[in-house]
Amino acid sequence: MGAISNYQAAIYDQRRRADSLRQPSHAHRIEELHYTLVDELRQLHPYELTRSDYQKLKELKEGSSYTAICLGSHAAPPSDYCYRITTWSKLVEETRPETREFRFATSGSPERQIFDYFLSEHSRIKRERSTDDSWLPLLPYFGGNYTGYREFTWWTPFQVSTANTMCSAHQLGCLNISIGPNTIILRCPVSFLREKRISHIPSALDGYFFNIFRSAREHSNATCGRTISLEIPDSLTLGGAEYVVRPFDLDEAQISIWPVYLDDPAIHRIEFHEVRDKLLSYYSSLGEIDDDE
Amino acid sequence: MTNDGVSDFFEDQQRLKRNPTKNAWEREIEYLLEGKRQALVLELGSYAQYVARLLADSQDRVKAKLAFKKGFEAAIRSWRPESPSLEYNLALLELVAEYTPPNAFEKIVVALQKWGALSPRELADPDANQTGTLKALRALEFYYPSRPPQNSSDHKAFEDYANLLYRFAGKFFYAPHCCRRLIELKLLDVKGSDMAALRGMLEMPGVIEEFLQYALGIHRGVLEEYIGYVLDCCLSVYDRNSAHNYPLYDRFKRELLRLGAAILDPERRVLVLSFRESWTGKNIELLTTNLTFARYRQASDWEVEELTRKRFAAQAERTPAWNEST
Repeated sequence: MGAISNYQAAIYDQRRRADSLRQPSHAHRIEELHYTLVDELRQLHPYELTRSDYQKLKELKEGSSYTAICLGSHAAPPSDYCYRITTWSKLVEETRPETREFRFATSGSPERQIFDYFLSEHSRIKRERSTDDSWLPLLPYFGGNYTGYREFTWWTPFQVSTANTMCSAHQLGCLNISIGPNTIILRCPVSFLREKRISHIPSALDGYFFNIFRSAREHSNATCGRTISLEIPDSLTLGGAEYVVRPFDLDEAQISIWPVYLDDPAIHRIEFHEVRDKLLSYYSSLGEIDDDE
Repeated sequence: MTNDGVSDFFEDQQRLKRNPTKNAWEREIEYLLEGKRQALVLELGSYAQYVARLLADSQDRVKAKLAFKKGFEAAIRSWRPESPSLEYNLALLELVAEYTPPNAFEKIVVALQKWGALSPRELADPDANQTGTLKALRALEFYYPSRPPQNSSDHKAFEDYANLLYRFAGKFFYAPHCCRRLIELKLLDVKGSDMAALRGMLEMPGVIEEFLQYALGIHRGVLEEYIGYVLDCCLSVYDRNSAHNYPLYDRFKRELLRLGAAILDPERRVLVLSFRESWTGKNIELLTTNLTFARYRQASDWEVEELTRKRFAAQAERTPAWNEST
């Protein structure tokens, strides 16, 4: 690959083309988002937006492409549980403010203090139960309507390794920089998602703001979205399954958590510069690929 | 047209991890506070997690931490709370609470003393003012998680902080935080001479609630010792115009129930707590063992009936049972 001055912009161009080819019914909305990006936000790509850009996006009216979410077919994973890698602060931020209910922590509690508490509580339960199942229920600590920033959240049935969480994150298409050191893995029973019918195959509009996203081909037999695994940067492959989930009540879903401290200096690292060229070639051929899961 | 200020983000990040310097960190902090790293802040959930991830991924962590510390102190030196946007100030205060740079304490205290708010601009917008000022008070908390030893060198700074707490304790929005801190730092003699002052504070919205959330939560520390005194105070406020009406006591009880307590023996007026019933019995046992509630499940060391008899003998007949108005 020759010298590219702005990889993110180049990736965005390839992605936009591939997404429109793979999901033609969303092509006009992808273009609408593109014009918002270019004309209103004055940005080259949507992967490094600023605080004021997000503010402007939030102010877009209902019915705009920004609010067109979860348009993929309804689908639920065939597993027992779905997982999500997050942090305490993100969990709180992604819960609708007026519904946030702090139980044993408060809104002013420092994250490290809460996280340390979760770690100690988790080790105690692990010791006492002497089994591998030492998930903590979220219920005693926090509740509310879990919406995500854009009224949906990403989940995977891929069993996130609690011993090697960073590598699981890579397999789910995440770089190290997007995984907090004070990680909390959320677990949601799939029976809940099935009953509520709130999980969908992610559309290109859902994944629009992420530089690592593979849109499922429309009218295929796909039963889920698939991430791009970054675990081996020289050879990007299909990663775990993924779904987008509409807002739900945390208590009702009986969410459990597993705290993981990801601060090991020897942790496996995948950084953007290691995958950017491969991502560009991946997206440039994605439009033509007729692969289906 | 560019992705302004962030087009070289990954290069900046690599440089920072390989060769952290004070200047590079000062610049990165400025980008962060200005909202130029917002995409990653949203991914990670907070500014503090963003900094922590960059530090954790640095090639030489010690060098990175020292460079960050110096860079952050330099950013604080040039910070004038009255100038930047509220979002900038909120982001900065989040990092201050996490890393407690020595020079931030004075800046915040001076601003609060001078304007009674973090920034005079915010005074025009009451909501923004409250958010910024409460965040500032919360950031100061991390400089004094507990009372400093007597005669310690920073006694003057502590005195300034204590005065701020007294000052803001009289304002509705800040009373919950300030009252809880005054008890925690033993600045209020709730066992003796300051009972009337405590009663006054408890009447303000949110004060009892914040006290209980902290006293029974993961932060409990010394607050736990004062639950009985606060309950005493709540029981001492009797609405003479209305029989069986103890407004503060009702709030106390309501908050306990919200926190997951179940009152198991209303007849005896004994406070016996258990957790929510939606879990399996096994989970309840495991989860309660290590929490303060578990101790109270014994009910022997903290009985409303006992307190009532001792301190409010004359009113004992009219003291409501736990199951009333629940």
